[in-house]
Amino acid sequence: MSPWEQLRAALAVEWLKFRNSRPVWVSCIFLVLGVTGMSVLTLGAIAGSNPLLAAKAQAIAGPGGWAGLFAAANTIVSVGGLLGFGVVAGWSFGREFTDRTIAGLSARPVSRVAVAAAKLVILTVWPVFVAALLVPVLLAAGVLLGMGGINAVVLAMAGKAAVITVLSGLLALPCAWAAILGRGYLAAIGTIIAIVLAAQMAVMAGAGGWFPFSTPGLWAARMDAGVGPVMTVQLLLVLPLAALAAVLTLRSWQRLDLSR
Amino acid sequence: MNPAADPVVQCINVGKHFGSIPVLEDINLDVLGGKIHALVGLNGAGKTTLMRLLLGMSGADQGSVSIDGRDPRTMPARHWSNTGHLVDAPLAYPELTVMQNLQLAARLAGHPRREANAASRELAGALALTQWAATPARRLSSGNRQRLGLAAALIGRPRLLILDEPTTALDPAGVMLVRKLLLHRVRAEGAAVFVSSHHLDEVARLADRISIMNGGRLIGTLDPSATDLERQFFNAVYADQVRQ
Repeated sequence: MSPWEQLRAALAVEWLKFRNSRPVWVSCIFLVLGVTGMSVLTLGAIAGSNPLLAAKAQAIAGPGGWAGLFAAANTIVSVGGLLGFGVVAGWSFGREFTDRTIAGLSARPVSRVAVAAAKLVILTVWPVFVAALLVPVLLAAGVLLGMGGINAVVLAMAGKAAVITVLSGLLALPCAWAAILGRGYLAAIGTIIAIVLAAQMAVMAGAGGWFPFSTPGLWAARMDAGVGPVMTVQLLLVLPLAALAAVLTLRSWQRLDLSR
Repeated sequence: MNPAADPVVQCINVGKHFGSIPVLEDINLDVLGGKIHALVGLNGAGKTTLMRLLLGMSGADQGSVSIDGRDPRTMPARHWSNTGHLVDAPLAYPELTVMQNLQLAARLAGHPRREANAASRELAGALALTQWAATPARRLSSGNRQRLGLAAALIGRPRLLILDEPTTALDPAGVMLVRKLLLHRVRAEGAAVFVSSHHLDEVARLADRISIMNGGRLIGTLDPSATDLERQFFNAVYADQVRQ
């Protein structure tokens, strides 16, 4: 089999597993319906009777309306996306150790590297799929709540939400590597919690812009959909970080020693 | 793959350590085409570790391992289409049905999609799994999960089979079924089989050669046609332990 044929076979195998995995669909529901629901609740809290809650909600969602809805969604996705996509990335690789199927994936005409590459392709495309579900659901929620028509400004906000969702998915790829190093998905879950904490600490320390795990969150905190030249560079740093995580994942997967 | 009676698997002076503890020492062994070579030993004797070395899942610290003349650690993936294996645990994803698991194994064995479906149906029939074809693997009994793992190993008609305790958890009917399938693959198709087992009576019915492993070393052989294999086995193991 050529490398391309191996990758095609591995993609078929991994997609079969992926689409039948419960953690995948639970995280998808959380990231689409959960995020939309929480965003709507945040907007509702602005006009609520609890002044403390209203102040907090206003800090996230500002004036409300479309801008408030997407600001809330972006803030939630920038953290929740890391958690949700991180769990799925960790699950995808870690389950092979937990379910003891890693030996069965070895010594096959479809190489282990092809299997890992197929997993990474799916983990990269998956956030795009989630974004493609989340954005229409947010738009529908806005229309149902009477926020007005969908114009170019609203579509720009929707685009920003989609980009933040995809970036969160890419930032979760190190969890795949952690799952291999820790030989199970618990290590990946620990890693994603550590990443979220580190991102918060970097923001508090004032270095968040140059810490890729914090950047989508900082962009989310801005009400407008625009992005300046500095932040563009900062956001683009996510790409080499994700690529590095993918390379390390492939390398560790290929070099696995399964003597015990 | 080599024709029958040529060594398909060869181990020459193989040794391996876990840290400072030797787990395999000076292993010299071959598996011939058209023959079944059984490996018997107590728990922890090193049988599974040796099988993992043969499958390139880990490397030897001393000596050399080869499959059809190639180092399994560096062998290009395409050559593994000649090898089927069941080591450690069955390749069975709990959320997938029996048929989905077999299709998955067939794709990993290099079958295109249509052939994978046909091969899956054939193996489900051969291992008497057809009635559970639509059942998720998590709902299978351990015996049927083992049958599923064996079906996954046999898919693609490999010319070399490496099976670690394949009859574990099988009922007597399952044991007979596996024996019949393996003997057919060997006698009619010239496959080479390297199998480990705790069941000496089963091994006697199946194997052409039996090697005894103890403490990470090959300490002797058993004649499959001899009577009272159990006694011979324990005599060999006891004598080895006394020597140590």
